[in-house]
Amino acid sequence: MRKRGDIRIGAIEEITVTGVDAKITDFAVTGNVPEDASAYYQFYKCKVHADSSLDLEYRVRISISPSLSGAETTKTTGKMTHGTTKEITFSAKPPDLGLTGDRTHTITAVYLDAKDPRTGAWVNLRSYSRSDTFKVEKKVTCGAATPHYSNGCELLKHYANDQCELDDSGMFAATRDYNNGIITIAEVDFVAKAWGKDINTLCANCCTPAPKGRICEEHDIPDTAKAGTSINIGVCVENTGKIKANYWVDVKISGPGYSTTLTSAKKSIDVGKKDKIYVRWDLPLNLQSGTYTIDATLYA
Amino acid sequence: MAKQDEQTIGKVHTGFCSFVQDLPSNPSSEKLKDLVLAYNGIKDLGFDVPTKDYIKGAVEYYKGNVDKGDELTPCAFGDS
Repeated sequence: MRKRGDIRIGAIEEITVTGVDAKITDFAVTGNVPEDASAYYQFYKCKVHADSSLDLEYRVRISISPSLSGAETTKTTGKMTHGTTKEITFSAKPPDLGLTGDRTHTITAVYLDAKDPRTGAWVNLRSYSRSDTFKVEKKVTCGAATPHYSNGCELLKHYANDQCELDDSGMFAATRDYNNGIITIAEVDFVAKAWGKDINTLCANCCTPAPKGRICEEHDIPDTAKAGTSINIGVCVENTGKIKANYWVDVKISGPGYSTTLTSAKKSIDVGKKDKIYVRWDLPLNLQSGTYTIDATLYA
Repeated sequence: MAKQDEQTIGKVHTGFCSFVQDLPSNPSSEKLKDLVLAYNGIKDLGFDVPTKDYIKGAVEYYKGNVDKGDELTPCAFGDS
């Protein structure tokens, strides 16, 4: 301390300033994204480590080159306490870009900002130069070849059920195949567009549903019959499918010391309709007294 | 060809079973008498009554004991 006359000049106290600090690690591309996407797909992630003694909110920004419409480029962490880590992910739902092939994008820089609790202003803490690439995959269409199928229709048919519907199990199978590297994200997204629908609504005339039917309850079966006579047995059949189809039945008759199977002629039944399909049973003259059970098997 | 469905759709009663099927719900001593006559070869009902068990079974049906009747005869009314 210097002394000049009666005036003292110099430090009166030393103040230790603790800097605000945080960092980003584990930068990683998590996957490609599809063009004309039906949902957001994650493509990038990283981890924010809060090393500041202050509990602050952080923000991560990424620069994508070329820029990508529909992509998240800023994510905030919420308030983080000292010593904690948070994973940040970025997703994208690109629009129809008219791509003729897959397009590569690069994450060229990642920025870490902290929010000044007094002013609310974001202050840049760190910048990372990166070169992490991912692709926007060209959208799948009904008629054009996909990476793994001859066309989009064939892709949908692979995951649809026999009624041409893409149900939950078909969608789960597609996502499982994507996770196993069997199909691409663009293919998964195309399947997702048909999820819960008849795939023909997405790709017209793509799929023909299989005939489907059941044995209904309103049969035409006489209670009793005499040996040496003939009776007609009518089996109630309902078309529960989506197309008119031909059905036939095998009728097995079994009783005391006797068993026979009769096959009907084919009968065409309209969608949603019930009809009876008949077989003729010629009871042998020497048929024993008894109760004969009638079992029917329906084919289409 | 694809199998769509399979189930038991009904039963057909023949001969003796056809004759006695309504005994549990509509007891008729005349039917029992006819069965005895048929068993003894006096009356032709159009079917054989080969053993006394058929008569005993018919009596059980007459009394409403369907399961016991089914045990004694080739009929199966109990689970229909």
